[in-house]
Amino acid sequence: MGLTQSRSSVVFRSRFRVSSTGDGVRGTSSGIDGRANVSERLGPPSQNCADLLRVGLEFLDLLSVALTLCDSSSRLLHTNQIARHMLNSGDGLRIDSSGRLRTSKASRPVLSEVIRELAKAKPAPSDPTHVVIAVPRPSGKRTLIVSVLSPAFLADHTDSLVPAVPVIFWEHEERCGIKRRIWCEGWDFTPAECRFANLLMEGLSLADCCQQLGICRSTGAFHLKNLFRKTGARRQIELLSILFRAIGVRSVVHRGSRGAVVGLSPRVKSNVGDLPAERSFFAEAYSS
Amino acid sequence: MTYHNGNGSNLVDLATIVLGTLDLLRTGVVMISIRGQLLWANRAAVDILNAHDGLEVDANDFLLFSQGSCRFPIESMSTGTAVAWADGYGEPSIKYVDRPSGKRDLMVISRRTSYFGDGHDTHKPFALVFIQDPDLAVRISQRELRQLYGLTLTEGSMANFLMEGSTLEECCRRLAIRPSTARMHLRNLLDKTGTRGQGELVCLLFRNHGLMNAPPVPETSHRNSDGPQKVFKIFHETRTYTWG
Repeated sequence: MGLTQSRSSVVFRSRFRVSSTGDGVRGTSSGIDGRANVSERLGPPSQNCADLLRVGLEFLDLLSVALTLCDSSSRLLHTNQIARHMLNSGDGLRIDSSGRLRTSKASRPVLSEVIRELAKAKPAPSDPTHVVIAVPRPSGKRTLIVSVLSPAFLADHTDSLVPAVPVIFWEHEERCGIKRRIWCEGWDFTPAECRFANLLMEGLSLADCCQQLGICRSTGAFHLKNLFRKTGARRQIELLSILFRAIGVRSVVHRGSRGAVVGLSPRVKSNVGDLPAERSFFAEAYSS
Repeated sequence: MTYHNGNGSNLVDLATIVLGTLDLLRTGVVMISIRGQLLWANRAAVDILNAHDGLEVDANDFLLFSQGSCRFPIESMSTGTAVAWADGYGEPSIKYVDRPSGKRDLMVISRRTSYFGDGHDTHKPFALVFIQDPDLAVRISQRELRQLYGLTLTEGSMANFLMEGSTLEECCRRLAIRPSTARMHLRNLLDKTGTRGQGELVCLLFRNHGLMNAPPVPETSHRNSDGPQKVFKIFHETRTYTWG
């Protein structure tokens, strides 16, 4: 238990850093009290780690981010739902017959070598937090961007029995169907402007947007002008920058249908118990 | 090498790693209890809360709106019976939160967790809160841009400026280059990323990289934008990766 206790503090360390520019007493007290109370309130870590893990994985599912944990030989230890779905499609990443994470086509640098190298890396503050790999996709979509995170950076793994290397990726090519409610409440967009903004965020030009929506160019220019007015942007690039920063990662909304769970060993799968059949949070919030 | 759940210590590892992964996200994520108290927040959220600009945490860990100091409304989410909760997902609530500093509103999306122990346990995560700060700069490290698309330093800086919404003229000024040179760099940038225009380029960059936080790099000179040189060697390749 002593070991567990000490490692759980890694989870909470720096959770409540006091801002150096905090406004006097209030900032300071909330910072320090926060740190002390949180680990206390969460109780013994052995009970609450399952909660934190479950909810942590749920966050990633809701953000439509695929997470897989691998050991140093790329064998899969754990995946979230989004990852299972994406691995199942085999478009970029897949699982081979021995349960190892593989790229569908050769990538550079080689995924398994990056994983092996990061798994044995000693924790050092100068190391990168993650290594990014471009993985070609058999379907002909743009390359999948896969980030292999450094476990040494995420946690103090010197006394860990199983070093697990997190690999995260997400679907870049999904439609950008941001729900009207998001635009209407915050930005006061009309329905036509919502559709227009969604198409712009998929990278379409003004002419392409007009074609897709079946409107003439002058109408498109009119919508664009109104979008500029409502967001305070002066140009199309600036508009995109504002929209993406305000809406964030919702461009990675994953709305595909879920496939069957890939062949993970039951022991691995039951690590935190099965999460309820998930529905993507953002898929709900943003489905048109 | 087995992976077992028996003594709970591996769960600690797993939780540490999953929460550590959330720490790298640009979006602030917060877990709150049924009483509205903060249970866990990732780095991006801690930065937002520490700024006391829109959302903050009081001395008792209650999540508050900075203006009016009213508590984050949890009641609206907690209506319904325990049976309904077992189903898990309520409609997420979307709020735009005013900021005293006059910056763009924070977008705050909250919803219950799909899983909620047995009833009113104040120690368990009850709701998930996502906080998006529109004024947070998005910056891609030169290392990533070089490795993925083969961009030079100048092209990498230009890609970052375009993501900030800069025009080509502004890029010229910030990089101290001529318009004709800038147009050449832009052409190379489009070639290397396989995009057809500035709009598509910016969309590609946001979609591929807008999720993860790169560590802040001081914007002094684009020539040095790799920041403090920290070289990380991966296996026995001649290639090294610079973290900037």
